[in-house]
Amino acid sequence: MVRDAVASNTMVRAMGAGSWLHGGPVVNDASATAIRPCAGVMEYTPGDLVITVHAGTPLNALAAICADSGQMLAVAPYGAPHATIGAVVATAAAAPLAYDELTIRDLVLGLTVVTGTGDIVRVGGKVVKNVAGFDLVRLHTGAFGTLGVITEVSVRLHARPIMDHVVTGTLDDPPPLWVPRLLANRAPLPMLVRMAPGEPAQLFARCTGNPARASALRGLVQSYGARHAFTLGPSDTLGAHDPTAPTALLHHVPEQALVLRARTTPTFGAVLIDAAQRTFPEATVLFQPSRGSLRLVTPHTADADRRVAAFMASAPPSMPFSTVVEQGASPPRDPHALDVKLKHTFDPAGLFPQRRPAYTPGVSP
Amino acid sequence: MRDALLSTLSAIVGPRWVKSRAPDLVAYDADGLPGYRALPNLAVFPGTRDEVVAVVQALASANVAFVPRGAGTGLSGGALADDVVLIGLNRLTRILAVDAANRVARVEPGVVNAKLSRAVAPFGLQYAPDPSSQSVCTIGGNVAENAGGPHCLKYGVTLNHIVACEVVLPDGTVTQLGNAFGESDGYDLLGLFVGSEGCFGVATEITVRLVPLPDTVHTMLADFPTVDAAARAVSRIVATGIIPAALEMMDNATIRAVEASIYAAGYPVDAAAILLCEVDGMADGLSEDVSIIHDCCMDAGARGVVVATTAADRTRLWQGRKKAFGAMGRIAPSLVVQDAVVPRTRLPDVLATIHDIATRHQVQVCNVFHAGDGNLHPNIPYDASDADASARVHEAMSEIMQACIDAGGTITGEHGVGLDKLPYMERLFSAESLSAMCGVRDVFDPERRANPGKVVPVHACKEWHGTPRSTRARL
Repeated sequence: MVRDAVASNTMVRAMGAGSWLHGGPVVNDASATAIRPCAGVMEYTPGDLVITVHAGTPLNALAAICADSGQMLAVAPYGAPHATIGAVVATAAAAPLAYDELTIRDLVLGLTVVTGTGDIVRVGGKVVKNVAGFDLVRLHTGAFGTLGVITEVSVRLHARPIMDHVVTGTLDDPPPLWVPRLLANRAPLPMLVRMAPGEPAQLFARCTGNPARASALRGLVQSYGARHAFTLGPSDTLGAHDPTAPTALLHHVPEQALVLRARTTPTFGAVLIDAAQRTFPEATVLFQPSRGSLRLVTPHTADADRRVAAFMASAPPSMPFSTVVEQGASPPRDPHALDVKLKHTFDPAGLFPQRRPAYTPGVSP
Repeated sequence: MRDALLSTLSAIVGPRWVKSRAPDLVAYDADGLPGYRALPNLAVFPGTRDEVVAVVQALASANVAFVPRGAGTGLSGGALADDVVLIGLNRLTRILAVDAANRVARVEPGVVNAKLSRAVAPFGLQYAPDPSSQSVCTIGGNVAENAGGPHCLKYGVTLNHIVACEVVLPDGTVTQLGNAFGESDGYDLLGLFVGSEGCFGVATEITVRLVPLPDTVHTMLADFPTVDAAARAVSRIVATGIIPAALEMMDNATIRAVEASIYAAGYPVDAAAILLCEVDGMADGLSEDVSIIHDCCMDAGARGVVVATTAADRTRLWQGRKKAFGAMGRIAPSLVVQDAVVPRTRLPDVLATIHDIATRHQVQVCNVFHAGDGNLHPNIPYDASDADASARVHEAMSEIMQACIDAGGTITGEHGVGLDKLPYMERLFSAESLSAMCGVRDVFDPERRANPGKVVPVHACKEWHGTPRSTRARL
């Protein structure tokens, strides 16, 4: 289909489940022909801990197949459980409480991509280490389908640990007190703090390993000041998306919400949280202490671009800081000069989605 | 032209740091893979970041090709500067900043890998990627090759530990890729740059991620009567969900070479294979992991498993592994160090195939490799002055690469393509895929002056086949 579109100079856009990214960083031209990649497993040898699937395979289907062999995808990204693996790769979707704090970029081993020249490009491979040639897997991961349509994905899997559960408890003191405590953690303990208006800050931590280690990690969570701590269900790709699970509220992304990611040095974490809560008092903020990053979800308003700009301006000059808009506003920066050249290389006729123009204060988008 | 360039470069870095005479240049005619030799036209050694930028800009103005080089320990012929200018970065050795609280360090490209880990150890931190050459190889070289090492099984390869680079592109433009504490909303240019083998420019400053030193470490040595049994143990361990810090295999030929050398580690010389397995992290639960791994090995047919009880024991076990390539030097004057990756379940049959290939070509293969990743290092000691032996080694290596490709693997897991793997790239990738790589190279370096002739075999690209023969020289 992509080759036909290239031949006829027709605009195309890859589409997964169509479950989110309203007003994301690229323009989704409604007149473009939507291409939905196929679904299904192409190759899976459990002993290799690698699976190759068609890009349209839903995450929950992928998770179920892997679970049968005692394996899992290390990340359960934000959004709907039926989001497709191709979309997760294309958007480099973030994930809360990922196993070993891995990201989808760490897990994608190989891709097949149909580019804007109609070429079928296979990059990477099906093994866990690979430096043969330039790393075009990294280039296409997070490219939002602007360079081509991802049709096949090979990803690394992990064996499910003996114990895998989420411990949660409230943090009653203010962020300047608990951020340093969490930052000092040296254990393999992915953590996330959820701050919603009118609610106490709630710490979530994923405790994995053998029973002795999982128990020790639970003890660590309490030592970080989490009160009323209790254990929730698993946080892997199956359990996390169970709508009845208490962790489901971490994954939910309202359709028309403004979603931002911001990051600073971890030691500036409390300052970043303060800036976010002052600018967006109605927002739910998810803070990842080890990265000094937060994810902010708030109802969309007509002046979203202006509010994002105000948020960026609110940070103290001494604080290294950057922001990415996931959906609901314009990108805050112009693309890197090399990005423009890469786009032209892979999509010379401009058939795939274009990046939205960056917001400039005082100029109507 | 050469004299003018010599003068220009001397003005930038000082005459002492430009080498132009053959006796001075011969030290740079090879990297760690001695089968390839080529003299640079000139070698220039800038001492500061600004000098690197000025040198690259001068070469751009003169339209001269160049090859960046770290310590020259690469194993693919990638750092050879065949009649072009070599830019040595080994004078840029400063650790510019260590931010222990935020677990990052900013370094110049010539900082030696092990030196960085030693420098951050007082903060309870380490730089995790640990290639076997870590006592001499540089962070800049590690970035260029996306270097791995035994402990990458748990901690990840170089790419997972680089958060930002300042880069001077081949046209002399200085740009920042990645952001130490930033979210990136564009293409992953840093991910593209790491592992680009010097074809996309020169890193002048690198920000690395540091990780906590483990509280506790247990190192185990498992002894197997067959290679097959050792490979089965690897599969069993990986399937438990435990991610060892390292899981290394050595075959009998390697064990004997090590034990006959000054690096003798006490390995059992009658074992068909040994596994060196390490688990680390918080103390709680680590003994249980050791017990599970012990059972996996015994169930797979191990004759025994010993756990190092002292730091000295642990160091001794690792020294044998890390110096195995050096130990092979006793067998023959030359050594081909190979690098390929296969799916873990294919390890037993690929190792058997390698054995068959070696027998057929009458060469000795010593296997020492990262078994947990399926990352093979079949090494062949030989006498490079013997033309017949060299030809047989070449044939054997070619067949081994094909066997790895046929098994669903790849031709390099951590050494890079360089010159050595160039002939195999078109066995692995289609002309369209190679063209896409060429296209990306042209974005960074449209004149293809940075490390020319490496990584992508231009003649295999789609464009090459569609180009009239008369115009191919321009490519």
